[in-house]
Amino acid sequence: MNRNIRYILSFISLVVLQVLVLNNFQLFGYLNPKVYPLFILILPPKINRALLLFIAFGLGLTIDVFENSGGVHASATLFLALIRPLLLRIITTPGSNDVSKLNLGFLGIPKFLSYLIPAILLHHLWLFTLEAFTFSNYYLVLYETLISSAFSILLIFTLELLFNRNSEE
Amino acid sequence: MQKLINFLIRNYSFILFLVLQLIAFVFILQANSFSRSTFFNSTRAVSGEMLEKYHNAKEFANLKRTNQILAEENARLRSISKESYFPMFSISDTVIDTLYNQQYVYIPSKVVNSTYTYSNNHLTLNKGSNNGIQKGMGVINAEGVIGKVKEVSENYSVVYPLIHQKGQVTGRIKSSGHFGEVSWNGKDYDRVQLNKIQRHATFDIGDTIVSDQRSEIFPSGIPIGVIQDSTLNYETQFISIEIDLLPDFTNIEYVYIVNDLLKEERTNLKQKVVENE
Repeated sequence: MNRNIRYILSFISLVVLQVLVLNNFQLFGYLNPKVYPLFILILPPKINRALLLFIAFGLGLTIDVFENSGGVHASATLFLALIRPLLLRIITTPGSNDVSKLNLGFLGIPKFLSYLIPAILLHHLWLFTLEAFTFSNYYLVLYETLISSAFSILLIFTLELLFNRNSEE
Repeated sequence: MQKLINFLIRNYSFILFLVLQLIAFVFILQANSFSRSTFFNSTRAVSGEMLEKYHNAKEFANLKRTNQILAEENARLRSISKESYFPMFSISDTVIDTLYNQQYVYIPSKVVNSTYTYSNNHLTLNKGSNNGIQKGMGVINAEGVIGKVKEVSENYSVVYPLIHQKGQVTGRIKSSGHFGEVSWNGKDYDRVQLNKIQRHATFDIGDTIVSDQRSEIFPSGIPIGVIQDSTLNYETQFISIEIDLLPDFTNIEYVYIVNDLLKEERTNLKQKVVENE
């Protein structure tokens, strides 16, 4: 119960953070950091795949509703949920030590980063390509992806440092 | 069936992914007019291209019929065009008026046989006396003068083209108005000769030679060819001009047979004068 409440709290706070704070962060045109994908990344590693997809869809759709962007976030978060098992498999190859929780404390910095960075990059790439809806001037999309990913990773890493630095049970 | 169900069950997560992506995509298209317009425009471009290719293939299959229709329409339009009419002036006290009387009628026909490699070449057309064709009528096509009708049967006619040594017509230099006889020396199928041009006639290489009404069978001004070269015959003091033919005799499909409605009247009138001399 405690665990589920924690998940719900994370969901809400991440959405609020994204919608109220970050989306008004209009420094440069191409800087669009997204922190909500963190929620998908910290869900239990052994979660049911279908459930994961539905949760991702729901999270993305919630952001979409606040941003009036149709289904771009839903689509991108869905994609992230699809490739999450792949990413997990990559970082847990050495030995079969089962990870019980996916946060900074349990994984350690190197593993967490090698989990976080590709995830965010791919999610943002999908998202911004879909937002542009064209392949002309694609270098702009790539530029936006890189800048925003860097910032998102920074923010998410900071959040994890603040809240999950120590492995807890 | 069982295999399909097994496949669906094994990949249920990916299929769920696809389904949800589809829903998200629909939302995107709904919300975003740019994506909606590009999506529909590109699908319209793809389907448009496909339909265009299909239509081209269909058009190609209909070419024969299309050509026939066009030839008939051309004949009708030529008959209506002003050059086919014989102007009759009628000056009354207060009004100067021009009445037009139909002079030339064009009958479209398809070439069923043609030669161009012999020293005397012939064309066979698929219209004959049943269609009103008579010996001596002129034959032209969209490019220019073709020849004269030599023989007629019920359904076919044979034509002496310009590349027949007996297929002479009267030709006129369009720019200067000097006329002479256009005939063929039997050598090249794309060259004829314009003979008996006055020595003082002025013309340039590239000038057009057209048909002249003095030939009695063609309307005036139908193109024959383009001047290539000229030589002065010192004995006869006439100029001979080499002409590059405008009609392509290697590739004739559709022609028009010209019926001069006023020819009989002219012939009868001339005969009367000759008889009384």
